[in-house]
Amino acid sequence: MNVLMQKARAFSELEFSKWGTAIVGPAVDARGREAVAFAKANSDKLIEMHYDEATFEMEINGERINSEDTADSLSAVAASRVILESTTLGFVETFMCCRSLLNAGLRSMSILYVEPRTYSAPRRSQVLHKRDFDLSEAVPGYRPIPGATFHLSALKPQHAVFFLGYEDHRFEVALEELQQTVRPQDCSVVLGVPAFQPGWEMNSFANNVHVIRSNDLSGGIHFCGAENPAAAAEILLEIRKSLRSDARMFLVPIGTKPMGIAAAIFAAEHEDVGLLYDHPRRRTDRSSQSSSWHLYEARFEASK
Amino acid sequence: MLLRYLSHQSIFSPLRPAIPSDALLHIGLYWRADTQFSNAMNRRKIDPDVWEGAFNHMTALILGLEVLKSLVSISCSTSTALMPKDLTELQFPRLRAFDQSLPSAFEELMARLQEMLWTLEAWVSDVRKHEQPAFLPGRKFILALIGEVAAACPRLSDAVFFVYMDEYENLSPYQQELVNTWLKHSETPLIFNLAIKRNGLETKRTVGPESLSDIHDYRTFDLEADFLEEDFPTMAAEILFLQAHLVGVKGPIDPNQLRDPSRLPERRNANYVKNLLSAARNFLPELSHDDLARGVFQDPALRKKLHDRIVRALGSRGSALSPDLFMRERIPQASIVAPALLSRSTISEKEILTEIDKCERDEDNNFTGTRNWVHNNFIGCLLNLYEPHSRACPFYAGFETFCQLSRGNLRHFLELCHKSVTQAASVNIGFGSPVPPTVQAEAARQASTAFLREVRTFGSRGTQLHAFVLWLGSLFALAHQRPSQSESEQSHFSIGSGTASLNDDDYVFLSEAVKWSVLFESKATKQKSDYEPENIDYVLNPIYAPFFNISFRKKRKLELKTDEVICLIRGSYSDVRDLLRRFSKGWDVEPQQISPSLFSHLQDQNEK
Repeated sequence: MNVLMQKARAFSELEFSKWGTAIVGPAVDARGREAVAFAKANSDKLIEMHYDEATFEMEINGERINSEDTADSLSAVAASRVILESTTLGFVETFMCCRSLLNAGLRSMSILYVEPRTYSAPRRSQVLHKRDFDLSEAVPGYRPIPGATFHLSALKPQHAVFFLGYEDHRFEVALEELQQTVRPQDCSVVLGVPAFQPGWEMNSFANNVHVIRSNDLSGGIHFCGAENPAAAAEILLEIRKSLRSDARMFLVPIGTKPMGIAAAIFAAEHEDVGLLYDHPRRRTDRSSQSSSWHLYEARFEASK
Repeated sequence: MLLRYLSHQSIFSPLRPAIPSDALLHIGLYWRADTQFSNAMNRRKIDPDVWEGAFNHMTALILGLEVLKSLVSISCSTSTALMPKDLTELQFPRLRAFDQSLPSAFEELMARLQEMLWTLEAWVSDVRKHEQPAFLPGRKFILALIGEVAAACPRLSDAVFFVYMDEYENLSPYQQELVNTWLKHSETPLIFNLAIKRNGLETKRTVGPESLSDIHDYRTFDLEADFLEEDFPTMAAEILFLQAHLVGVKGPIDPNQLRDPSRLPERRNANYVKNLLSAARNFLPELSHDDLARGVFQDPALRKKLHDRIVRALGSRGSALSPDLFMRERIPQASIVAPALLSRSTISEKEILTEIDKCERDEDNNFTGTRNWVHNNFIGCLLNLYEPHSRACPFYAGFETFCQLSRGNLRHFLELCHKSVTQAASVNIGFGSPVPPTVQAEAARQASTAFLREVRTFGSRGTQLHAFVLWLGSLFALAHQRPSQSESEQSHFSIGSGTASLNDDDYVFLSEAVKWSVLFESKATKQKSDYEPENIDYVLNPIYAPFFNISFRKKRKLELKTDEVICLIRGSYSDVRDLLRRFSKGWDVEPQQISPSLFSHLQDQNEK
């Protein structure tokens, strides 16, 4: 994977030429609505996608299909220039689009991400809840993603890579799932430093450090820019190279969206890489206003 | 913990000095279902019958491997039934009837079953890309394997394998029905056992026409209730001292005795229990109510606060009496209760003064006599004084208190102890020396905070449960701050009438709260009228009490209207804030009196 990155204060400062197809998700906040409007205005065709983790179905422009048929639905799209609007697309949709388009022969695509100005933390004035963020309405739990499902078992060496964000409870539940099957020394964590804004990295540290300590995780702590999927991808490659040849690598992308983009592309490129994901339902108005705009140009390697 | 204890890895542990001869009649196979993988065996344009076959196949492979691994455990233990070299000679030729690729030799069979599991994994992950494997019949295959083991190892001919399944409640409905079928048809040599959270057995259906029937097909063991009834403090103390022993701190236990079931009668001896509990109380001492009260007088900040409360109570009733008349160092409990009594319009300040005089003179009085003002109000008033206060109330200290806070949950108990020891170490008190009550109380508050955060991890509704506990605890904390303490120590609630009705999802939510032990259900004790239908009380898990600075004792009930319960379950942040503000006003509680950590939003709003 190779990712070229552009960052701007507003979309008007981004350099781009129009796309053939824009793939977007449902917008739940102001920045999402702005991002979708941008994608719509700058592409010939708009596709809205939403994944249902309970039924393994993908809703594409209102029509529900088995998610494993996503590739069939998108095969025609691979011939055009594509932009994924990742502010509104969920992680699974991003992964499925990458895997489908890569298998259909697409070698590069644009990915848009708009940072929030603030995140919702209703109890921020309360000392004990200063870092409690209200980002997810409900978290259905770690449910399999077709195409990246794996059996948790101590029979084969497994290595987990956690991309961490603000919601430590999602991290704790993931570790609960891995109980007795993945050793603490086989768990690496990746934290977003620098964060989107100075000081935000403390939210991630403060919320996750007790989980790292109480579980004695010792597989390595890595840092990459919260907005930098290229750096996140480099870390993944580095970890993968360090593993035993028979070890199974799987990713737990519960950090920032740019980290999730790196995980989605990496898993799309490497079919033996598993994904463990808990499908949080994003809360309406989870963030307010938009901050920096990022336009990534991802170039794929052929599927392995 | 119990399931792992019952598994072959623990029973046939090489550390166990002696393996009871009947252990071979009870070989435990621990199976923690990988629910995220099992859930992938659903829908996806695959026929339900095929998924059923796949789940059977997975069961055959996982339990087949566990049966083989149990033989390894037995061979490495002190049991003479099987030696490591015997394993290399074991042959299971008849299994080939299920699949020609299955080798006869022990190690090759183990490797082949692992490979088959990986093949299944690849197919389940991408059913379009990989070929569907041939499926083994779950229970039948395991029974055949057990039969082969019995034939190859005569010493294991009577062995019974007990499957202990964890995470059953997170399986898909058809998978639960299959497991229910195996449970229903459990008989030697293969018995299924399920570990389920409260309310976790959602379906009793099997794949056949008959559903599971309690007692006929299975028996329920309520482990939490059993632990509570079966003298939890004794077991908690043994485990505490075993943990201490493992890090080199000697205590009143002998680890070999704890690991040897034949020595259980020694551990039931009254003297043993007495010494054990006495050592636990010495290690985690608690303060008597009188000591707790004296502590208030010895602490200048708390003493001043008590004085201020008396001044305020006298002021609000326009009394000219001196507050010092109610500050009696010789009877500190009565003095601490005084502000609450002075806040009640039903009792005159003169009556209170007369009674406190009598109390000090050890005459018959209402503080300690029939009206028992001290007994009924002391803890509520004490907690009230510690709010808002930077220090934790030592009411949360003591071995018995830790047992009550953990309510049969060993993990909670050990965390309370662990935090106490860590806190003590930070003030140079070595592990093994008694932990001062103030240190224990602070540790209890820290553990409580950590367990409260953990609620967000409780299933798919964890975030909602977390918000609910925060709001409910905040409401109880407000109730504890009523100046009059007219209903002191409210830490459980019942649902009365109201204008709105709880919907099905609200009841599912309450059931989820009980399932995760956030709330405990108990039959209502005090019905206001004989004509009321039987009601349920919901008790907040006492482990959260130190965080909210509320009582962990089940004393008085808060009767909530349906509308209020609905608001706590699914109200928005501002709805609940308004609800708390209404209660705050009704109970005459000023937001400044309560912890800024819990209620700053109420203050913010008042300032605007």
